[in-house]
Amino acid sequence: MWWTGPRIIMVLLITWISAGCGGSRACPACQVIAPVALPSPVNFAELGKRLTVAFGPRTDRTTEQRTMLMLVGAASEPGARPCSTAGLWPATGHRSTW
Amino acid sequence: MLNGWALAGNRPSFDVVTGVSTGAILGTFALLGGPADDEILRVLYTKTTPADVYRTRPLLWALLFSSGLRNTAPFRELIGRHVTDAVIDRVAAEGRKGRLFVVATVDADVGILQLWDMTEVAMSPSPGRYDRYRTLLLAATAYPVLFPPVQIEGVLHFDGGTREQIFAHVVGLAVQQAYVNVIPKPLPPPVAYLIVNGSLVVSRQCVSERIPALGLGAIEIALTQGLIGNLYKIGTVLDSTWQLRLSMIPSDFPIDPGKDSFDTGQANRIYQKGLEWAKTLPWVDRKNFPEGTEKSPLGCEVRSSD
Repeated sequence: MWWTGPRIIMVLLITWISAGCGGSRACPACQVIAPVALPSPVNFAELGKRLTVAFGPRTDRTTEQRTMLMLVGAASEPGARPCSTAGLWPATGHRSTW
Repeated sequence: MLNGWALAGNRPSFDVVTGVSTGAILGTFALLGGPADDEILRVLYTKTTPADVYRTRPLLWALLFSSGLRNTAPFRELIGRHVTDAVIDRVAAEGRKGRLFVVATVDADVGILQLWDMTEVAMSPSPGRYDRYRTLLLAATAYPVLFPPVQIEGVLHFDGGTREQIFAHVVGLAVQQAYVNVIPKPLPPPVAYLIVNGSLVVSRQCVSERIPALGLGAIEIALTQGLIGNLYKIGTVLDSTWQLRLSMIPSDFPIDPGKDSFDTGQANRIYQKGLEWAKTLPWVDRKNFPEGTEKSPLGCEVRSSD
């Protein structure tokens, strides 16, 4: 009979070896890649470190002057814009004419 | 304004960019700063229609069953169209040089301002970085009640402008400390450019004597003054080493507050004004920040007393 015990063991052994070093946990090449955590909100200390890099010497810098841009969005018209977007402007009173 | 500044040929490559609310969306392209990025800024500012940003929900339905009066699914798609994986990879490349792009959200449960280093997100090895980057932009622009908050790792986030319309406190302090620590020798004075997409005066309206009108008007007054307070705060936190340069829409520029924020006709007029303004760059320095006491150009009819 072809399916004797030793042959079965031999087939299993070959399968085990060809699958890679006896299972994924034992083989660096077969290790399951752990999910990489995405960055969390940055705290004050960490932000300070990154700003130090940003304002520090950098090879791509073309001028010695340090610059920062702070953009404020539509919230600068906090009541009016959301109010109009929500279609509530008529509720605020007499609309101006332009 | 940013585009006009670029056309003038003297817009710097900013070391640090911060963006609040829609400033968070524009910040990605302001950081990158190439001609193609400027074109995206132009398209975003002048071509975005209400339909590109939100779908209307029936008011009663929204009040009873929704987390926002509007559905922002189209805005998520709009962000995806412009803030592509390739764009985020370019942000990562800038981050590796040391440049920094920060946006903020507010944790809806505890009201804490959460700062997000978008360059770090872009540089993350996680395959989820692209989706996270775009999700953060959506969260950073989720004006509470109007737009639904965005859930990130089980926490609801909305527009960081709810807490601070300019990162005057945490970022300002960190910037001041970092600058003092890192620059040991005299250099040209550092400059913080503050660009406000508004006029810093309460929009002209003759309110009716009804609770919705008075309530909405009061909110607008309070938040406008809050922004002015933020300006003064950053003027305090950043010492006199820093040059502060403020840009805003002139208070006499006619903006119809009754038009939708995404009305393309009005947006185009403001955009053209920005291009024109950039030819002369009339920055307002810290000594001349607005105080919030400007008078409305037009008065309202005097109400008859009882």
